[in-house]
Amino acid sequence: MDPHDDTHLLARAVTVPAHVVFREFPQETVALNLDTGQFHGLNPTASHIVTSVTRVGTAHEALDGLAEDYGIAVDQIARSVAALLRQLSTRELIVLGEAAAE
Amino acid sequence: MSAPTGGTTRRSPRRLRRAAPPRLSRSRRVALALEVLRAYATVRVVVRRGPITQTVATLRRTNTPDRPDDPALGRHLAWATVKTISLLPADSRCLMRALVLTRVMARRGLRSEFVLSASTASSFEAHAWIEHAGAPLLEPGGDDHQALLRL
Repeated sequence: MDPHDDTHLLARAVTVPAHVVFREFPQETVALNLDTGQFHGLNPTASHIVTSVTRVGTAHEALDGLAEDYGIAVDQIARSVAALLRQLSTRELIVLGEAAAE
Repeated sequence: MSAPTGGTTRRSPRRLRRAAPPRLSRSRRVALALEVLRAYATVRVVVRRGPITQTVATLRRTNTPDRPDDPALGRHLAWATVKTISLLPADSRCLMRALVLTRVMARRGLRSEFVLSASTASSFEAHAWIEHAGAPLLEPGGDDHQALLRL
């Protein structure tokens, strides 16, 4: 399976590593990567997605709820979630584990 | 870069109790200033080696046995640290002050808690300070700050 495929990505377990601290503020969520010393800002939408995905374990499981929250189609939210996960993973703010068995 | 950056000097509801300048002989003042400078040099080296958690752990590693909490001594050392570092034509931001004080206190066997906070109220800002016996020794983060890390 192509590891760059959204379907594969959305099925992977998503966790926040121990070296990352998330704190919610009224305007945004701040993520501090203790390993790199970098602060990152997440807007409320990105923050909500991260919270939803990490709560249930995979983006795939969170998609229906997120689509309902934002009133858009699952396919549409799936693309946004996949893009966000790639960005967060690149910045080492989340860890993508193995894809859950189908 | 290995350690978080940023700085602010906003006040907190937990006010900083400022130490009155201690009455020390000239030789003791010089000795204390040299101790702070040595700690500063150590911090400059250690801070580049790894993440902030490792930096703080390394700075606390000394052979000095622990001593009971001593807020008055803590305030005295904080005063000396700020005063000395402020004279340097180098990095004297909150993070550096907090790390240097961590080292100075560890060498005296005093416990310290390193606190890192952030605020997004107007624009993003981060702040670091040291607490001892539940009270800040350096200027703490303001009302709109949330602690991100306590070490």
